[in-house]
Amino acid sequence: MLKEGDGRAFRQLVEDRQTMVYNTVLGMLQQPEDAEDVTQEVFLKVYESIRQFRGESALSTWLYRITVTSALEFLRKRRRKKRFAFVMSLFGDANEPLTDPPDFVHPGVKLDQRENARLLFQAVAQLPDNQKTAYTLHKVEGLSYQEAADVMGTTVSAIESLLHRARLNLRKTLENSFPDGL
Amino acid sequence: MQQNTSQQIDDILDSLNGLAPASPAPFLHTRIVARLQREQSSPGYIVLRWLSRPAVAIGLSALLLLMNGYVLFIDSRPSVPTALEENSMAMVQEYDINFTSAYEPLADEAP
Repeated sequence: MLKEGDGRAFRQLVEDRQTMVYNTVLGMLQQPEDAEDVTQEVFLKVYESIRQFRGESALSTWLYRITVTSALEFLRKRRRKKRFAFVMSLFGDANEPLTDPPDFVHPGVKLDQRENARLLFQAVAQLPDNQKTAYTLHKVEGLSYQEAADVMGTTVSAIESLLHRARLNLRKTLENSFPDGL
Repeated sequence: MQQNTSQQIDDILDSLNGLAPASPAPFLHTRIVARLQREQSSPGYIVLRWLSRPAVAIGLSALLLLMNGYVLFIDSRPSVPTALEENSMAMVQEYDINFTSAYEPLADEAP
């Protein structure tokens, strides 16, 4: 029904999967307004390309792939804008803000963990894109290694390796943030 | 102290355990439909949609290939001098005016 462009089926899909898409995007972008914008884009892409979905993978895997790709595209665009703003600021023409978004705290974090989660998300933002994706899918979305591997089109051992390196990098970043101890 | 720091970093790394998923603001579907209608009515979208039709895309590609082939065919033909070019060549030879620069000395002016 969804493939036939049925409006009710599309509404059902949005209602069923909006939390999954938004939560993943929010974990990667760490900015609620941008996450909302990218979530809308994801569903627009789904609406446009649902006929290309051949059912070889689960609908959720296909949806996660579109979500991750859209979030990464947004992050790259944001980095390009930031670089451009930096170059323009050298010429004394800085219209775009150079500052990073304010500290992010995921709304689903337990109250007693808010400060720790804030520090962790700051470190996650510095991870390379593939480690950030694997970490978000596993730790924020709660996907298994196998599910994360299906979404990223790789093997379980590659996901294990990415997560191991992500954890090492996070530890290093956190240690450097507090050279004199916490 | 070192052990304490390490333990605190472990606590930070474990702070996402039991994370509840975040949901978008209500009425997401309504906002998506509004955005879809806005985008579908923009001229850029209509042109792109028309260009992305298989018949149009294949037709335009074929036309482009034909034009390229035609240009290649024209270039590869040996050039046959026209009547005007033949007359000009004959005149150049008859009056010996085949020097290329106004500053080139004529044969009888040479030192």
